[in-house]
Amino acid sequence: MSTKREWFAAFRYVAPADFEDWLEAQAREGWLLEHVGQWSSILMTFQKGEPATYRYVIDAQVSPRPDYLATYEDAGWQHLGRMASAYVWRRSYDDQRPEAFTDAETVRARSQRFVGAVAVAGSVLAVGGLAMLLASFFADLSAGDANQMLAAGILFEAMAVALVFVARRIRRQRDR
Amino acid sequence: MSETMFLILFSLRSERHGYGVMQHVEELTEGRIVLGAGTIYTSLGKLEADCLVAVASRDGRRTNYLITPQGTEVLRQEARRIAELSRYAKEIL
Repeated sequence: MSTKREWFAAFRYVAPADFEDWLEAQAREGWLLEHVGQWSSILMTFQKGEPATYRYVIDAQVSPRPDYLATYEDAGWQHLGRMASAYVWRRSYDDQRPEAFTDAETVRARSQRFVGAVAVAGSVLAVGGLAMLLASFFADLSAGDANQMLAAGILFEAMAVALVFVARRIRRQRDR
Repeated sequence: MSETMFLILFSLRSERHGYGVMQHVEELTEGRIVLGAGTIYTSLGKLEADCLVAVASRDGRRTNYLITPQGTEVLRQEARRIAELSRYAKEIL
């Protein structure tokens, strides 16, 4: 069975609806996502199969209640796994494209959970980067160590800034 | 209160789990409203946080919820508001 690997897909399609649409397009071409793991946001593997019509849904849940999985599964959704706090679901359909979020309030709440997760990650990176930058200038380090610390600090701050743009993009599409 | 929240509260006058609420709402509205799994899960969490519903029992992986006295009062208030709007609506039908 042939496979296809996609690198950093979750970072290329940061808005949940964009990511879902992209997965659905892959399935229509016969590239099926069968399992999601912690590292799938970095490397995602698709299996070649028959073209299929699947509705994918991604849902951020940091600490879901005990009935989270059952609520989706009872409604016909298949759990493919999770990437960090992002649960990935799919459901086949013929005519009517199924939705997991069926009112404006919960669609926005879903987007807001992703914005929150991105904000937490961005804050951690920003604080960590700032600590590294300060250490590179003021800590008692050798020149080599100070330069490494400076480079890591700049990298962390750059990633934090990138996450600000990610959060803004998700917010712009919060009603999808 | 949104229509979704009203219908979920209405449905939880009897003990039901998430999917049970989805089925009941679909039946009640004759298929006009089909709640999604994410919507029902999110809404139940919010209603529970607001103390309008509470966990009644657990059945394996499922959790059964039931409206609280506070939730019943809120549902009654909303029903009165909707009944008043309904009276106005009849004038133009």
